[in-house]
Amino acid sequence: MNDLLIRVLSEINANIRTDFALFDENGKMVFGRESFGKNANEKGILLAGKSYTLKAALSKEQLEDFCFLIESIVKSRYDMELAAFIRGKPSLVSDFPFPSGLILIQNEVFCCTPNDSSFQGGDVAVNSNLTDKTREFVEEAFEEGIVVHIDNILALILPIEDRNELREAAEALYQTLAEEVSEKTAISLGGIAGSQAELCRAFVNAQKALEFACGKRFGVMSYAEMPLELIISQLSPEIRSEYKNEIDFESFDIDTLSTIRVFLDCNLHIAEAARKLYIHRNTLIYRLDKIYAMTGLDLRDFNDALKMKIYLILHEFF
Amino acid sequence: MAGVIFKHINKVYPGGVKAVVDFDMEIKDKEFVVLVGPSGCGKSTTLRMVAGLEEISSGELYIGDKLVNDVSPKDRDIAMVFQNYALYPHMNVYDNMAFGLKLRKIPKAEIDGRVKEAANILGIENLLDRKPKALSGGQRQRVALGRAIVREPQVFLMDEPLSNLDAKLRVKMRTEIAKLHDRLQTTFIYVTHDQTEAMTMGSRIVVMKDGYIQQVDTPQNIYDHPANTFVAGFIGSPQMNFIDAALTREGDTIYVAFEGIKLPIPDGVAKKLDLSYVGKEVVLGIRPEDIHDEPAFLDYFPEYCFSVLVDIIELLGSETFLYLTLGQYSLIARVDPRSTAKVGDNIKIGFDMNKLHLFDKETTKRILE
Repeated sequence: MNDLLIRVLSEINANIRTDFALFDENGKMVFGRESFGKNANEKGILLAGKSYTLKAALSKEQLEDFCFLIESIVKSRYDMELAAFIRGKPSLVSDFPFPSGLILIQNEVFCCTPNDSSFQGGDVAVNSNLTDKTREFVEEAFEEGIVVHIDNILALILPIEDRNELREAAEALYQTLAEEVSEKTAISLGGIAGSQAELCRAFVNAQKALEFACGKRFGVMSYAEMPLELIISQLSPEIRSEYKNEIDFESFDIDTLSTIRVFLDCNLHIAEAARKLYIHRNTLIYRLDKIYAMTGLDLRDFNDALKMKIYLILHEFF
Repeated sequence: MAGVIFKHINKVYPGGVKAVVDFDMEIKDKEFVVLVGPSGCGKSTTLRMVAGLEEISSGELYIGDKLVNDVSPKDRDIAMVFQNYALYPHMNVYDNMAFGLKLRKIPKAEIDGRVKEAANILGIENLLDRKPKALSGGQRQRVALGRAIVREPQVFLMDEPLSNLDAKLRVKMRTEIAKLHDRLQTTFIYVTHDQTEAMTMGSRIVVMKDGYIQQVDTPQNIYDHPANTFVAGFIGSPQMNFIDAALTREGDTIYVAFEGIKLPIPDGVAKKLDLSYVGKEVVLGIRPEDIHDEPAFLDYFPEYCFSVLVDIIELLGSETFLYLTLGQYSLIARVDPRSTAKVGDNIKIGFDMNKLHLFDKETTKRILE
């Protein structure tokens, strides 16, 4: 991504009168010409997540302001170009490090309401000040990653080619963000992309998962693991409301609700679900019989379990 | 170091679901308290409220003498260990352990000292250069513990930290966590749904159900004196046998009657009984190990014996489980492996009536002192 930085710096250089040079951590000049007199000063500067030294023929005070200006411009231009690239639009990016893993991060406070007017997730305020803390944390945790701010979402691009490793990174990020920054986030796995087209698709899918979960589900999620939820979200509100009240979940006690959730999560596996619920398998069978009597759905039957899953999604998200 | 005080804590989710109701207790400094209960009982929510990851709907939470309801997680001086380790795959063990300290801008030399000391405590000094994917599950869990230790927190919070490990490793790690508590002398709050973990690790256990505390006591007291039928059934494996019964009196003796059988309650037990229950229906509880089929017991306590049908026999080597039928009830007995019982036999068994449990049929509460 050095190429993008140089292009952005060239643009800046063409529009200002102050000559400057940029050196990497090894002292190698990466931009500009060193043709300053004895009055030149230098200062450390952070550009695109990496440390550099900027040298210019300015006083120390002027240099401080100049570095702040350069940092701000680079940050905003860098984000703009990368965001365009990720969205598949024309951009200055020419050396994107494929293959890469994509993760999207959204703070609780950034949750937005999707266009669907029936969606009930819009009760959370939007406050963009908080992204700075999250962004700083993410940049600190992933020095080799690229962090881009796109519409209240942080996109994190990592040099990871393995899906499991990407999930592990996302899980660790979710928990440490909560612990160290005190921020509740929803993190969506975009997957591994080998080209701009794949990156663009990964971004769109991961964004859909975030929009769906908005304010209702936190933690790490994956578009690929939410097909039912996403298909249901595409239905018209009229169709959804037709099925929404098929089962009166509000009248169920906690035991019944947790039995339904755990049994479905355990892929209808009785022994596993009984172990997770910490009840004897006969007790679970008794509860499943009771649920059958209450709802007419036998969760041991795949078709009935699928119906129950759909009703649960309608109950929880719409 | 600090204790944790819960003052009438409630957690109500939007929509009105009550996850935790009137949680009121004090965890003393350096205590190892285990929250246990079935899924959905509110134990993890309680822990997450201590961590600051869930808002408290009402009530007050103190860590030490500081009210922390509105204190952010990073400022609570706690450290958490999760079941999925939360390790960064691109960082080696050293960097994973040091990461939280770096964020807090702690000097490098101090970070180095703390990481190496924690690695020494956990026996992972030789793994510091490795990435998480080169570690076994047990080693990863140690690193997760190490990450918590280096923070030198006032309180350790652990949410099912062993549930991703296989059975053998779980047993080993639970001993190690107990040893770690002895060594660190810090307050531990540990959440599990596994009653064996609760019994073996905690200095006190909090049993929860449907958001309510059912009982808080030492493991032995909870086992010996369960507060209600839920606790009695939840703690102990195989679980306690329950039979609907009635209490009657003949002369000075109180009997417990069920399925046409009448067993006398020993005077020592009867003294602890609320006598207003005589003549009423109750629930009798008897643990599997308190059902006997050995001739010595049957000869010595003929008044406690009756016949049952043997349905299934499970030989486990060191002990045998007999699955028995008594009228409409199925009972489980844990007996000596030398038992001569055979499937289909009608055999004599006896209840150790000194180990009898009795519960109110309506409230399910214990009625023996």
